[in-house]
Amino acid sequence: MLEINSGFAIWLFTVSLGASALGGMLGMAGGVFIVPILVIFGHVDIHTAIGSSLISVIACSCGGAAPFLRGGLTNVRLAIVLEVATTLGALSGVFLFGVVPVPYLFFLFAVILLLSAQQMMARRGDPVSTSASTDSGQWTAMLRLDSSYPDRELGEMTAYRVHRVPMGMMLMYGAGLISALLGIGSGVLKIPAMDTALRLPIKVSSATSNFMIGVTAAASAGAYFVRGDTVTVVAGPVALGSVLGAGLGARLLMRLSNDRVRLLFVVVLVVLGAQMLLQGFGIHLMKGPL
Amino acid sequence: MNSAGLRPGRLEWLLAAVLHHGSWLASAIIGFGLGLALIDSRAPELTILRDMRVATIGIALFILLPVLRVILMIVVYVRQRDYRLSAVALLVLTIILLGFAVGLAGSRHHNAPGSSDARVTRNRSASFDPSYIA
Repeated sequence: MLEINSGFAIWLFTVSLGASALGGMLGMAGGVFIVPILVIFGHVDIHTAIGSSLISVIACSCGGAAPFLRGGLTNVRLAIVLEVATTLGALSGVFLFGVVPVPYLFFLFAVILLLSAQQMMARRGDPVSTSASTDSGQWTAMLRLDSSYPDRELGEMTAYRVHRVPMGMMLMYGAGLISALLGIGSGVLKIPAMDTALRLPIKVSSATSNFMIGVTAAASAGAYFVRGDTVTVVAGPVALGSVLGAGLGARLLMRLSNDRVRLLFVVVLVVLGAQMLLQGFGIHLMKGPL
Repeated sequence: MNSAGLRPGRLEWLLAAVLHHGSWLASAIIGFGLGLALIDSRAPELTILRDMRVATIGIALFILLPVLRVILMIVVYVRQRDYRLSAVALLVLTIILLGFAVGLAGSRHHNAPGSSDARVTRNRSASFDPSYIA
């Protein structure tokens, strides 16, 4: 049995701080950790956890966007075009949110966690063809999506082209849907969209993806909020912990070896994925924190 | 092919400033609201549910921040006479507002936004609220 007291609020704050710091070290929002931790260890209802996590996703996106924007890494034009797909996906997710049975949400979450773990093991590299020679397609030309970014190693502006926008949009629709349904930033679907379809340089892809998740999450979080599904007692400490954690993570990123963080990440993802799977089958191994 | 000579970076700096300051403001309001509730909770029943209105305003602000960002983009693109991109931004805004409308239509409570707290407060006498704690 559980009571929402000040101790639980502090626990929520601390957990979100840790999750967002861990996520921030790899340049992503901590939602993928926050939801399972709240559900498994905090025994928070999964719908409440998802609603709160979406606020945290917005907070991480808005709070972390400034340096990327000022640094010229965010492709704002491409972001708004892709946001048509992600917000449409989020809207579909809102419709599905109350309909999908809870065990399915657990299974879906487990799949996303395990896929993320697998993705984390495979190294990402800049896509081979960022050269200006290949044709980037009709959409890109019409909306002037090609851009350039400052490459620190080369010390100059590097031009890049945006490829296969329609395919990218399709993947982004899926990312928006998963984001609204599970309360996460959906990096697991955005990374293939950015790397394989659009073929963006990694830094541009991380910055643009971070910029986009705020708007995507706002579409679903707004719906849940006006519906009266956002529980401030849970969402408040989670949002606050996330903002501070994301800032902390970005600082830690400079000091820790990337490989060690990656390994820690994979272990956490697999453990949480297995737990969510068990929870989906109705097996609860963990006791409450308080 | 950069942003077609329309003073590139100006929009980016504007958005950076709005998102940065907006995040700080929303976080500060949530922090202040939670602080108030914590102080409040030292009284009778050690629950921090007494008054979450201030923190709820902070949360609403966080949700509105990306919406404000999209509105700003519409304004800037219209002023740059980039009608294609402003139409795209307008479409995004419409979809987000549609989401809000869907939420409003599905609202289970009459005083929707603050109602989560109302629900929590209502169940405060019980040791836990089954509607949000499993």
